[in-house]
Amino acid sequence: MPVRTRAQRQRDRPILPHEVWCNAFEHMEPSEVLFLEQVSRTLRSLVSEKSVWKAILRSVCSKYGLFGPSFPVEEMSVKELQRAALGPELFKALVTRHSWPADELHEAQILVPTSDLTPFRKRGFKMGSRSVKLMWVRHLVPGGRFLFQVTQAPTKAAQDSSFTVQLWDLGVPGSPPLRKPGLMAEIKNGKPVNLNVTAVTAMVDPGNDVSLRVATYLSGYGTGCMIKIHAVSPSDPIFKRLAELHITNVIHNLHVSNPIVSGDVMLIRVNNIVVLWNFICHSYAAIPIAPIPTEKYSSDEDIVFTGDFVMVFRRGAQWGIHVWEVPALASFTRITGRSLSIVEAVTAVPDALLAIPFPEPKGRHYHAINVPQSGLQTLPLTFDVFSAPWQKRSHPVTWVGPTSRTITSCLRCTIGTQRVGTVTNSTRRSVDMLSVDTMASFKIQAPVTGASWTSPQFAPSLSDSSLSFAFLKSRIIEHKSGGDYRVSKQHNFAYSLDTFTPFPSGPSSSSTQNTAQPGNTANVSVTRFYEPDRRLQWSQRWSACVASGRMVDMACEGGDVHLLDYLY
Amino acid sequence: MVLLLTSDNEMFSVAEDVIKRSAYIKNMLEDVGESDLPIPLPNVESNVLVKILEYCEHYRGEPLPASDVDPAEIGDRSLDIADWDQKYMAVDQEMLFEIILAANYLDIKSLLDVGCKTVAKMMKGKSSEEIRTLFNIANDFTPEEEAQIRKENAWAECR
Repeated sequence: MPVRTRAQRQRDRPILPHEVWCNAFEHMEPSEVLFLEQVSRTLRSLVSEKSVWKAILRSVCSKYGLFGPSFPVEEMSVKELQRAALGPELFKALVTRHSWPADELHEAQILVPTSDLTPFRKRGFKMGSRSVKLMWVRHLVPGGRFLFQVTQAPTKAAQDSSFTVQLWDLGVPGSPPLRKPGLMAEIKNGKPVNLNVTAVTAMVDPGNDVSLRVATYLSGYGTGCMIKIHAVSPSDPIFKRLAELHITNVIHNLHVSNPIVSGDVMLIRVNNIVVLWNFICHSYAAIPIAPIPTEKYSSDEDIVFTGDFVMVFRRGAQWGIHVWEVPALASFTRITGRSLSIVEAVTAVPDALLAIPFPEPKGRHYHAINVPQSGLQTLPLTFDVFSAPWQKRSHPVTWVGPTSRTITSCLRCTIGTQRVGTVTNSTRRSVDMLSVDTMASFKIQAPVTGASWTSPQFAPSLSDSSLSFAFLKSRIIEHKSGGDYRVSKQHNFAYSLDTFTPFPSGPSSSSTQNTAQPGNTANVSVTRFYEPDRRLQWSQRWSACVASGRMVDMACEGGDVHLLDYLY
Repeated sequence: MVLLLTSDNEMFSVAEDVIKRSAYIKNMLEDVGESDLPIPLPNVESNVLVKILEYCEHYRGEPLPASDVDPAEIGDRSLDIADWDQKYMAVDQEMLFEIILAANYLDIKSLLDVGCKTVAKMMKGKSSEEIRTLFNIANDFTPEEEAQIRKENAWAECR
């Protein structure tokens, strides 16, 4: 049998076979792999292989939870595959280059998108006809290529209104967006009086990663609400009904959160109950949560659903982040018929409380939890909690640097688990214990205030242990020195935390609300994004895929959409 | 006991449950059944096999990875390497490559992964010249070609 001597092998370096290199690439950032082109001819030819980039893009998709069919890999060139695979890194780098100290934000250079498909006039970026009333509801599917949106047919009589959920193709990320997006599929919803579609959310089908599941939330359904789940895939673009649920006895619409879908389960908070509905088995579990102190507003709290955990940010006597582990499917209760009266839903599930190491701020605050998309599958789970003061519209709080009253807090939290055993054949983890590993607190002296109609919203972010990203939209009032010139603008922000100082042990001081403590303060920088002239419109509903550097915004009128691509 | 014959004609006698971490040997034992004949390993030298057996011995008793799990599902893209594995991999670069090649040949998935992670870690943040030195790769580009490639990849300068 021919045996290569060590000397022979040494001459052939790199002696590692292709599959070993490709395995190593899986553990590298795509930009690092691309960089290897510069090392030698052998590596260059390996790194220019299409199969290598197909594999890398696949692992980028799984890392960031991107929808695979966003990228037609067979038709894409190596360069296009590379561009798509490097999207998350390029966007991070772009944001970092444009980041600015939070207290000097007024001088910050504004990050302008590469493609700005504004619906106004000349640019002619239209979806649907002018006569269609566009609901301000849309959802950009992770990946940045497909968009769900809701339109309302033109109507003379109010009771004749029917809502249409549409799936649009905006073009493959990594290339400029299509100037004329394609309508792929649509489905009409019924037309009960006062029906309103207030949320659409989509999620990749875990068992079939070429298919999407879209949840449509319809309010105004008598005393309840209706949730419809459809499956649709770009290769077979027909909405297929999977399930629907009529939740009755909804006390007030303001107490209903937007639905969140993860796997086979949809979460929605109705009144003071978090309902987990397994729409495949048509069963539910209910987690009662105590009423929030400000009865009218649900935006004071934020809910995160990772598939394994439910986290609710609470105020008042329950100040902290309450964490529930999702009960096993066996303990879900079967739903008979199509409707669920939430009065019945009283199965208590014990929660764990993550204490927040600073006292509850006085007055109303907006809270938002920022869980990195890439963290959803891995433990421990690190996430940031953002807290911004709510400002009354008539009394805008100004910001003038570090003496501002406007303080936005940001917490870095980690949920750790002790795993028992090892990963078994089942892909589900066995989680034994929930614990808080680390907790830190830092304050952003940022000119970011939530105005009465804008709570901070996060897009699924790109985060790693030292750097967090999120789109954060908020409204700021700028006062130029001199006093009489005032600009009121809404801005988009991304923040990044690039150092991390653990919160010191011992009692947290309550006097730190107005002063940043250097020892406790992470190095926070903020990036300011370009915001188009929107006339009197404000953008409350928007959706972004940070991994592709794309963001869609509310339309101004007619069936238009505003698409920003920051990379291409 | 299983007999293994290395490329430099050394015979090793190894407990079956130790060497079964190698899917290659495991399958062979299942196909061939009990045999007194040694299994030849023409691609593995004795000093490398010693190292491989050290790994298998350490993880003796740990459950073998299920073969039907989709690698993408359990794929761990992080560069975290267990302490013991890190110490184990603290060998000269030639031995590291030998271990990776042997793990690839013997189909020991977990060891191959650790090896590849180690290689990926070694390349992190290195310049192309440093990578060449590290892996003993000759620079076979002309300066013009090098400049050309750098120009082509300028769009990806995100470090």
